[in-house]
Amino acid sequence: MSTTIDGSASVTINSGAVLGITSGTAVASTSGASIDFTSIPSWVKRITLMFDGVSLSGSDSFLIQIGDSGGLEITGYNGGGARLAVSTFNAATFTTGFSFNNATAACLYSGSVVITNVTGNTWSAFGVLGGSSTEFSNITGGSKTLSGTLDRVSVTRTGTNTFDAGNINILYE
Amino acid sequence: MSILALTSNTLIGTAAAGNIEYNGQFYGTDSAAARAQLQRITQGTAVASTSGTSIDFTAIPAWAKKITVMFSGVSTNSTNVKQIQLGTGSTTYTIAGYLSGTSIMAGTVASLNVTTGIGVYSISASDNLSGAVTLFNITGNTWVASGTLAITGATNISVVSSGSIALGAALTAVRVIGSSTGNPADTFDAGSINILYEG
Repeated sequence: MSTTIDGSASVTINSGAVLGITSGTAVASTSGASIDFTSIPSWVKRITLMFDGVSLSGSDSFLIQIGDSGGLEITGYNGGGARLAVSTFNAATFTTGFSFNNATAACLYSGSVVITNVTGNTWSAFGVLGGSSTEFSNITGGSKTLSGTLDRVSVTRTGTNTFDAGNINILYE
Repeated sequence: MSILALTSNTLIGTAAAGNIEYNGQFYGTDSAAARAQLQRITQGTAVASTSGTSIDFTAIPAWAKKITVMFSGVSTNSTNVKQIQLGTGSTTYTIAGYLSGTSIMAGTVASLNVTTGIGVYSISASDNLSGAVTLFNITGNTWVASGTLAITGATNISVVSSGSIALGAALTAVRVIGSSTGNPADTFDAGSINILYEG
């Protein structure tokens, strides 16, 4: 790979990208109970979780958890989520992660959740997912103070369902 | 113009502070010895959405991983859903295959699915949309989107938008239309639209 620094164009990589956002490796969310992204660098201030046609086997809700070298933290979240249907909405609070209150097994969900460093080990999150059928829009927001420096993010579920469709990836910067 | 080509891990400056470091990505360390990855946001040219049936942004570079489509008081002459469509090559817009949901929240909720673009709900020709929808490259030529907007006009309302699309080639363009189909139909009559892109 060639890399160029010059006086007029700042820093370019492969004659294109200017510095950069780092992409993770997309993971097929077609099985298992969680999709994990680890080894996130300590200098990261923003993480974007991306969902492409992700589905669960049942009526659980997606649950996003963050963690540090001690593992994923599963309590202490200040979170809320809501599912917006054709003419109604259902909202709920969540303390075990950031969630959407989504609940349709046959639905494919696409969109993103942005997790941003507020200060120290405190992170905030907001996101929107669109659904393919009765789950038209799903929103989430919240915050969480970790006991240490964030180094991992996991997408799991509120019950015992398994993933059965789609891809999940992260960007970090 | 002098050019410094880096073909291996390189540190420019002092090791402790005030340097640029390359090891596949670029990092900068400031005088407080705080080290972070470097990046830059590129702003497009704002387009007045006061006429025409589409607002197009082309020549988006292949290295872009994140594109923010910004709406400032955007209106059309119709109640149809606004749509963000992605284009490839020079330029073919993809007008089918989207998995998108959009909802509008006032005293009640209304939602719909859109398959011809990333949908942005609208209910009145007097609506003025302000806010942003961000597109993220998840992998290959597949993009996901999420956004929140406000409508000011006859009522004050919030709108959410999200979805995904797998393109047949690398993204090169973004288009905003108002339409009940995938083809440009409604005429823009207020506001402006611009993009930011970063990689």
